[in-house]
Amino acid sequence: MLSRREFFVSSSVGAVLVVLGVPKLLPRAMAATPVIGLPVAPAPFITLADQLSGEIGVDRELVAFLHQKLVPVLPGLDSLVEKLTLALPKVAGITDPALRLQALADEGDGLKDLFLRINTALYLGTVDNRDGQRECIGFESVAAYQAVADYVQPPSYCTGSPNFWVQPPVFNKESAAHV
Amino acid sequence: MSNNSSTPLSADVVIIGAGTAGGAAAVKLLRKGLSVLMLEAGAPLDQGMVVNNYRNGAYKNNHMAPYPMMPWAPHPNFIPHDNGYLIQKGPAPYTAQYIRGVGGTTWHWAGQAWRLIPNDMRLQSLYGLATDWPLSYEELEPYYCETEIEMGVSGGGPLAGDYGSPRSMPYPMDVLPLPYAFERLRERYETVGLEILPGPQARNSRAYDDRPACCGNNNCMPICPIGAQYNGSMSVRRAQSLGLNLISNAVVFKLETGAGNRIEAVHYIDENKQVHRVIAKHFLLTANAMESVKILLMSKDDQNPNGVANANDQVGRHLMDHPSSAVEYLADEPLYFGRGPMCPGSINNTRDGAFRGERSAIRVDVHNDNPTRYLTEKYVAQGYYGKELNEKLKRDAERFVLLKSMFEMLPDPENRIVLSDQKDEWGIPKMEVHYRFPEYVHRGYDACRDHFAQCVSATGGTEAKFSERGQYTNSQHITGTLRMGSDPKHSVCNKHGQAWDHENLYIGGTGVMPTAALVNSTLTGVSLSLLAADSIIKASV
Repeated sequence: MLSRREFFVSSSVGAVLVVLGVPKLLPRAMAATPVIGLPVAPAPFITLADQLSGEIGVDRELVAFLHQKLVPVLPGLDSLVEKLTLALPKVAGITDPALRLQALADEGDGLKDLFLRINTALYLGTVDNRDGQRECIGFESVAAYQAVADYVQPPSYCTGSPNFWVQPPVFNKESAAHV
Repeated sequence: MSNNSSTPLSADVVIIGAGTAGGAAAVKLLRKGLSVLMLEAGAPLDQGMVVNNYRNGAYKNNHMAPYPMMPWAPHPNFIPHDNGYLIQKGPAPYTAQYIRGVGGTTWHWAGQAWRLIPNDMRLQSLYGLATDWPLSYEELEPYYCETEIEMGVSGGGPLAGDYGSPRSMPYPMDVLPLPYAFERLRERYETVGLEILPGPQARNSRAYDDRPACCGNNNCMPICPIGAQYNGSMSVRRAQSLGLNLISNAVVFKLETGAGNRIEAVHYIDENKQVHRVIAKHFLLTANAMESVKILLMSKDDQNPNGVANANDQVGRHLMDHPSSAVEYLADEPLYFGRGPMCPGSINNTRDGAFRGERSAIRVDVHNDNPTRYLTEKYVAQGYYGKELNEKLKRDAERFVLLKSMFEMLPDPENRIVLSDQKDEWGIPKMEVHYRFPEYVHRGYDACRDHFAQCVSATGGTEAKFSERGQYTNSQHITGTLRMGSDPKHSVCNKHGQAWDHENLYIGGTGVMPTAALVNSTLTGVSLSLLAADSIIKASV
């Protein structure tokens, strides 16, 4: 079943093509393949994912998929999640991110590795499996694209019309003043 | 490998390679009433499948990743690691990327459809360097027009005019307007004498050829999801509608010669390791500037002990590309790159001048890639997370600028492709690549470094990161290995694309270019293929 976003995006592209009189070119590709029947991730893992992604509203399907992928890679995952959750407040005040990483490394138990793995998955949608092979577990809903969603779509998507790019995003003036 | 003993296939013309050079030539030949059979090593490719592969792929920075590789038609791949298809002999790497499949590498090109300027073809006469082309710009110009119509090129306009490349007819479509970011940079770079122009693109600015106008999916590489950008499969499809006999998964490994050293047949091996023989009156080789070389070098016989078309040991030499340097930085204002087509404009007023006698000319592409993924990878690895990461990402992605240069390589006979003793799964030899950069390019880098610094300064740039002198990336503009010329001792084919050694063998594509110039080579390579097709038509009368 298409998500709301997937439906919207594919419908928009399709509408443009139909208007242009080229229905035979309607793209058959859809969004990154959704996962069906995935069990919900444990609550502590979801809480950690929310903290690591700055409460951006990270996709729950992505979180569940990530948990499922990490279980065989990191034995004792739930315990490690608990430790990382407890460690985060201790390192949150460190302003230099490199020193923060070092502090997590100093905590031991592979917390730095877990921190990087979860952030990579939440923000980039990739996770390395037990054999070190990289897998894609998400694309258009990853946190990185959520962070910039008010001015740009993930590559390969377009909800604008031809030449929309000539104008700056509509929030331009406010954004420039705020950041 | 076993032989299929049935009656050989035949046609007036056999084209080897189903990329844009072969596809466009097939259309032209078929329209003139010739029968055409096309052999393609790889498989047909489906746009929807490739888009799906991209979205579900783990290596989105690898433009080759979405394209399936058949065991009988391997292609180079370097991410996450070198698959060893091209054997690098150095001293510099030559990390070519090309697709073996129906439509060829234009599936993931940027769509930049530049013509050469007349001076590009007279380096020896004007600057005392390299070699002159055996034909003039005026002779090539009609074929440029044909190619632009076949592809559907948008370009020109009041700002860009003809880009210094005289035209006998207008562009098929109006130029695509520059994105907001480019207009801002255009205004600010002008203060240091660098001029951004909207480039010619094989991308629809309106509905054209039953394809829609670009709506800015910002994914020209590795795949345009809506077909607004031209690729070679569109010409192949058109040729099929005109009667083309396309055989995919057909790996050509030998050109057979006969009386008078004419080409009598081609031999190919299929996905079931069955060998077939195809006969024709004329043969057109458009299997890209590396794979074509391989076929010729493999085709050794008593008459041609160095391989076909290689009596003077020129096949595979003079390998070129456009070495590229880069700068990235954060501008002092939001620019919002990542909206619109990926390479819609560039700096071109550094492309020609008396300095070409001393150092490479320069073109600078302003990249409109969505920078979000690149910056995220960097910041996550550095230890950013949470709200801090989200805010930094948004702020920096809005201001991120990436400029990439192109330098002009000079033809060097020692930069070359030779056959390796190593073989692929179908028993076909792999290629060894020998490659080095001349001082001419390094001096071009020095000049470009200054331009880059000016650009950074003109836009209040911070966190600038310049690529290193001598560390250049390929632009995937493989050129020179089958070059045309006026002297058989120093070239593979004549000004008509006809092999010096075989009167019924013609060569098209970018390998035929005797110098690489400074612009994306596809439009020129296809135009040379159409010129060769014209030669075949004249020879068929």
